[in-house]
Amino acid sequence: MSPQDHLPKANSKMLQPKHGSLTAWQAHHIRCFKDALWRLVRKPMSAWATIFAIAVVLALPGFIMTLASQIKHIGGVWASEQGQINVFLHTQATPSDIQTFKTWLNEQPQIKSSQEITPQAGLLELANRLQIQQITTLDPNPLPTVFLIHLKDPSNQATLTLRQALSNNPLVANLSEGGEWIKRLQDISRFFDHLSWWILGLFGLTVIFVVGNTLRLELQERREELLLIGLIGGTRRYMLRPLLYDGAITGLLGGILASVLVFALLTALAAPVNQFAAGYGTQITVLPPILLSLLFGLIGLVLGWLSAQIMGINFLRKSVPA
Amino acid sequence: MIEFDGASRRFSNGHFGLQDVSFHIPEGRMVFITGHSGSGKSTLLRLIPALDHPTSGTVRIGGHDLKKMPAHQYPKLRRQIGVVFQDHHLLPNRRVFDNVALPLQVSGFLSGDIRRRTEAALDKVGLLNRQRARIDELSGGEQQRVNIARALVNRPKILLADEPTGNLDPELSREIFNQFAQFHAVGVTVVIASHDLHLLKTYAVPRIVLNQGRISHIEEAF
Ligand SMILES: Nc1ncnc2c1ncn2[C@@H]1O[C@H](COP(=O)(O)OP(=O)(O)OP(=O)(O)O)[C@@H](O)[C@H]1O
Ligand SMILES: [Mg+2]
Repeated sequence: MSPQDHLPKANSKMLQPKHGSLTAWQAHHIRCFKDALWRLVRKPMSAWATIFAIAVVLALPGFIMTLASQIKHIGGVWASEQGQINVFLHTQATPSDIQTFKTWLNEQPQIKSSQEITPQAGLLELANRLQIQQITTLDPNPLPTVFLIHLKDPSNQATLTLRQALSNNPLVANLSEGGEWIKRLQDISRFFDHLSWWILGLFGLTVIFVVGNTLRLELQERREELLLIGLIGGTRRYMLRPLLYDGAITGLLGGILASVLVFALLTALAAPVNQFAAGYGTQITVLPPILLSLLFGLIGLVLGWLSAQIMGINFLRKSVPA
Repeated sequence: MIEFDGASRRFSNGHFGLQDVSFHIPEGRMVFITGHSGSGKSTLLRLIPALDHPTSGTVRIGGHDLKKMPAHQYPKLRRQIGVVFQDHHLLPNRRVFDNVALPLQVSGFLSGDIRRRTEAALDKVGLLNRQRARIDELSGGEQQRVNIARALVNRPKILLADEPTGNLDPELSREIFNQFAQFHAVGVTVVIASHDLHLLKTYAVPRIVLNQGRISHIEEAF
C-alpha cells in the first residue's frame, strides 16, 4: 500500500453531477412544492389550524391599516375644504403696507391663490347682504382689508410655518381657518399609521412563531430522514428546501385567508361607515379583493418563508452534524 | 486513495475508539477491516466520509486532508462514497424504491436515470420485485440488502460496508461479497468491516486487523 495515488481535486470533474443539474434542481423544487400541497391534505388539522391562526393574526393589523388609510382620506377631504385662510389686516395698514404684504404673499410657495377684498368691496358686499344702501358711503370705512388665501396642500408641514408667519406679521390682526381641526385629524391618522406598523411588526413576529412551531414539529418528525440525507451527501440547502416550501405555502394561504377576513369585515362595516363618511363628501374605498389578497398573500408568504429559514437553519445546526 | 496517518479518535468520555492508526489503501483496492466487537471498525469507517473526525492525526481521501476540507464540501465528498451502514438508517415508512433512490435524488439525477439506476441496484441485491414494499414490511436480511443497494446505486468511487452480512444467511452473504468483489473488479475502492472470519478467509483480500482501537497487524492477501 503506497501513498502515490490521488483523487482528482475536490472540485474537478469527478465531483460534478454528471447530469443536467438545473433540471434536476427544478425537479426537486417541483417535488417540494407538491409535497407541501400534499401536506395540507395529509395533515389537515395541523396545517389548516396554522393557516387559520396566521389569517387571524394578519387580519387585525390589515383591518387597522385600512381604517387608518380611510381616516387619512377623510382627513384629506376635510383639509381641502378647510384649505382656506382668511387674513384680516389691521385697519391702520397703509396702502403701501398692503402692497408689501401682497408681494410677500405672492412669494409664498404654499399658496395656490389669494384674493384681496378691499374695505370698499367688503362694505359693498356687506351692504348687499344686509340690503342697506347707505352703508356704502360710510366714512371712515371701519372694515379691514381681507385676503382670502387658498392653500396648495393644507396638510403640509410648511403650511404650519406659513400660518405661524402670518400670525406673527404685525400687519395681521386676525386669522380665521380650520387649522386646529386638521392638525388634530392628522395627529390621529399619524397615530394610527404608527400603531398599525407596530402591530404589523408585532403580529408578523407572531406569524413567524406560529409557522415556526408547526415546522418544528414537522422537523422533529423528519429528523431521521434529514440525518440520513446528511450521511449520503445532501446539502443543507437540499434539506431545507421542503421546509421552505411548507412555510411559504402555509404563509401564503394564511395571508389569502386574512385578506378574505379583512374584506368581509370591511364590507360588513362599509354601510354605516359610508353614511358617516358621506357627510364629509367622501366614502370608504377598499382595495379590490384581488389586490388585497395579493398583498396579504405576499406578506404571509414572506413571513412563512422567513420562519422556515430561521427554524430550519437553527434545527440543522443543533440536530444534524455537518 | 484512503490514507490514515496516526489517526486517533478519543471520545468525550476519554475512551479511545481508535488510536494512532496509519495505513494506506490505494485506489481500486479491496480491503477488509476485521477485529473483535468494539475494536474500532465502525469508528474507523466513519472517519472516511467525514461523518466523524479524528481527534489527532490526519485522514486523507484522494490526497485531501479532511481536517482542512471546509464543511460545505462534505456533501460532495459523501456523494463519492457509498456506505453500507451497520445500523441500517433506512426510512421505515417509505417504499424500498424511495429508500434506494434517495442518494440519486440528493445528487441531482433526473427521474428517468433515477428509475433506471435504482431498478438496476435493486436487481443486483435480488429485491426488484419488492420495490413497492415498505421497509417495515421486510425481513432483517431484506432490509440489509436495501441498505446495500442504496450504497451501490450512486456508483461510488469508494464503497464502505460496515458488517454488511450481519443479518444474512451464508449463501446470501457470499452473494453479497461477490457483488462487492465485482465492484472492486471495475475499479471501485472497497473497504469492508466484518468479523465473519470464515467468509473473509475465502477471499484473497488484505486484512487490517484491529484490536482495542489499534492496528494489531495487517495480513496481506495470500
Ligand atoms: N460515541 C461514543 N462514545 C464513547 N465511546 C464510543 C462511542 N462510539 C463508540 N465507542 C466505543 O469505541 C469502541 C469502538 O467502537 P466501534 O463501534 O468502532 O466498534 P466496532 O469494532 O465497530 O464493534 P462491532 O463489531 O460491535 O460493531 C467501543 O469500545 C465503543 O464502546
Ligand atoms: Mg461496528
